[in-house]
Amino acid sequence: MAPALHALPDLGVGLVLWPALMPVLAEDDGAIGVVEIEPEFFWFESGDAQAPMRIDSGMVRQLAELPHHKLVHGVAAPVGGGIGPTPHGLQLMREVVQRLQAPWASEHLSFNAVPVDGGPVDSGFLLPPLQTVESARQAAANIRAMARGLQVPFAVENNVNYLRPVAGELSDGAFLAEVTTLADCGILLDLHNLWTNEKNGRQPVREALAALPLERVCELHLAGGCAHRGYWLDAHCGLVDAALMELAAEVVPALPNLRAIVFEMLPTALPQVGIADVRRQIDRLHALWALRRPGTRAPPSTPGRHRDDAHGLPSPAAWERTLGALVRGDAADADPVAALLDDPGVALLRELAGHARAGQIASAARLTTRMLLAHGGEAAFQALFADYAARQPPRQFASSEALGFLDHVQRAAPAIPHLAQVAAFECAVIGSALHGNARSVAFEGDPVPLLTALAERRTPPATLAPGRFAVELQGGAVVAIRAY
Amino acid sequence: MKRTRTSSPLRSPHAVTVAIPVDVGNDLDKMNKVTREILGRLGCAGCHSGFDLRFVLERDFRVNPALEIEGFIPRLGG
Repeated sequence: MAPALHALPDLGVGLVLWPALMPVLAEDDGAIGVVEIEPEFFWFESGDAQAPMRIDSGMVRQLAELPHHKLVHGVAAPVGGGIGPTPHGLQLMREVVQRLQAPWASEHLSFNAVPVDGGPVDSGFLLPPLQTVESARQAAANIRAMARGLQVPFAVENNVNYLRPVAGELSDGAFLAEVTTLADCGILLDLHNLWTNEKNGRQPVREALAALPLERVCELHLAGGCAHRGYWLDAHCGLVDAALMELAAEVVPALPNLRAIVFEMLPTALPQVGIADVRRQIDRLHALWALRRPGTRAPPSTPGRHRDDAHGLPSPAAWERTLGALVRGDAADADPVAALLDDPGVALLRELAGHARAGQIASAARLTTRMLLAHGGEAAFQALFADYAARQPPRQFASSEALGFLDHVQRAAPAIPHLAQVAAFECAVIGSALHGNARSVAFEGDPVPLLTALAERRTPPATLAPGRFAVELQGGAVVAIRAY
Repeated sequence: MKRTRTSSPLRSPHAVTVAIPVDVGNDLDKMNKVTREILGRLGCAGCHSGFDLRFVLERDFRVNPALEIEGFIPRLGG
């Protein structure tokens, strides 16, 4: 194993940090040793072909000033597919890693885009690779490229898989073992992902763990999930289940190089969970941390028999092409992977990907979303969204997804008073922020009561004070409101 | 309403531009609170492989005119 993995520092217990979770840090009494940052949350697509993304440097500066250790966990460039990391993406991630002085970085053993007509098309969701030796070699090459580009040790996170195991492919544990051995990298062991896979009919957790080179595990992820249509989902929607905490207590002593335990919860769960319970969760992670046995040897792994010939199995490219098309809702190509055509997990992935797209829009085009909900309920939103989603492939960044949807709303022009103007306003805010330029949006009626009501989730006023107004923006901020 | 001429680039040569009558500064503050809300969410979604609740939160979250939360029970399928 690479010596650098043995030399990583102990970071302790922490959480994935979101702006909504900052109050947890504000009153922290030292319990949180590390915060994990998902850097693409504060990256933006610039529209510039030479530098298609840029970083919110103010956000990085704020994060760098936090007294906690930081880890960088990528979500936009998973390493499990045929599309490897881009030089520009690596450059940005390296910049974040360096600014935050992260001792290691990580990404997912999944794929989220496939080549279509020569260019990558987003799948709209993290998707599972076919588990063969050929696929493991492909992932290992991506991991090595990422580790070289980031210039820090790299750990790969085991993926969630809602699909049925394919006859002849490697087990979940054997596949992860193959990838990490070939790449000589660390493992970010997401115990909730393994547990989710077991609950959905894949390899039992303990069997998967027995196949892993556990000395490579430098980080542990724990999260909460939920049931949906007969599946257990890796939804990060609450506290860690008690049964999973018991399993973690069993596993931690077998991880001699464990350097961090991180709780993952999305900010959308905070209203129901509450800050106090997040703090109690952190305390429970400390009890796990106390179970570590650094300096001991990991139990020997039993990876089982590998099938290097993968006889009868599709190529990784064919798998990704078919699964990507099915999840996007496109027709599969002329020679689709048969195992995917009747797997009910594909329909689940398609549903989850659709909700992820709607979530991106509701997040970054929230005023227009609220306007549609206020005037026509979910049906009004879904009518426009379904038409938009059928015409446009998913976009990875919320800014691009929102701009595409807002453009669609303005073209479709449903008969809702002021909807097109609200959509134009959101377009202008995002556009002027991304490009740093000036925009102006015309309103028939005073826009302030309308936009503030939408922002505060109040019912928008039925009528607006009459007049013609222009809202002028510069760099994403309103600099003047003029009436004519 | 106080009428003032401005140098707005949108103004036609024949137009009389009218400034917003009251507490423009307050309106700008309100509007920039709105824009900050929009701009805080332009990147990638967080790491998870579950049900994205952001649309459901918008759909099912209600506040009354006094800005009191009336309740939120997300309705998920099956």
